[in-house]
Amino acid sequence: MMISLNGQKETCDDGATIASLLQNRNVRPEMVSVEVNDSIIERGRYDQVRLKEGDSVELLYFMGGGS
Amino acid sequence: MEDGVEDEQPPGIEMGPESFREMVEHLRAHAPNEACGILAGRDGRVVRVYPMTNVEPTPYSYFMDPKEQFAVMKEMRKEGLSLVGIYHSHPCTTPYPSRKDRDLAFYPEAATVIVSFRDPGEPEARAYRIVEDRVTPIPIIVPGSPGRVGEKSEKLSAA
Repeated sequence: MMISLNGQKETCDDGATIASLLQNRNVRPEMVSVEVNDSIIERGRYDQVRLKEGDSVELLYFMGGGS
Repeated sequence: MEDGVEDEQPPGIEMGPESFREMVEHLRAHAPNEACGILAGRDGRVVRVYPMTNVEPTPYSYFMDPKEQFAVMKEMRKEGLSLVGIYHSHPCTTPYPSRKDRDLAFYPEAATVIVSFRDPGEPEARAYRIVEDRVTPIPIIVPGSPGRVGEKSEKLSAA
């Protein structure tokens, strides 16, 4: 199926979850924030939220640091 | 040379005087806590400064509000801007990336800009590329300013 990932059209396995999407892209879940259709998804739900055809997924790495 | 710093110097980032001043004044306004923001632009030139909310406001840490981060990144995409830099302050320490800064440098294409307020009257700005834990200093080019910020050791005035 097709989804939008950070504004780009991407193919994604049918029935994919956020967790599987991240795993397929070698992204560590503890380092990113994920938004699906303008709603931020809590990390604990990444393996429960199934993506659908046409979903708009935003994936951002944390921006942080310290002195 | 500090640990992890390489000799090679990639291109710097260019900021107009107004953008530079906006960044420094935003950071100064939040002292003694750290503050942070995003520099957006084209071809390494900053055209927009996005002050961001630090959701871990202490003198020693920053963490951008993810909700704001999503909104800004989507706006940048809509306007055809790219991520040129990520800036934050070091209220009490040198303008050099900390261990935590290096661990959380997930955007190697973006400059890490740090402004130190060790001497509040003379903030000191420096920029770096951080790629796989390797830190390379790069200049901040502010047209109209003498020299290129970050090339020399003197401190900067935000005025």
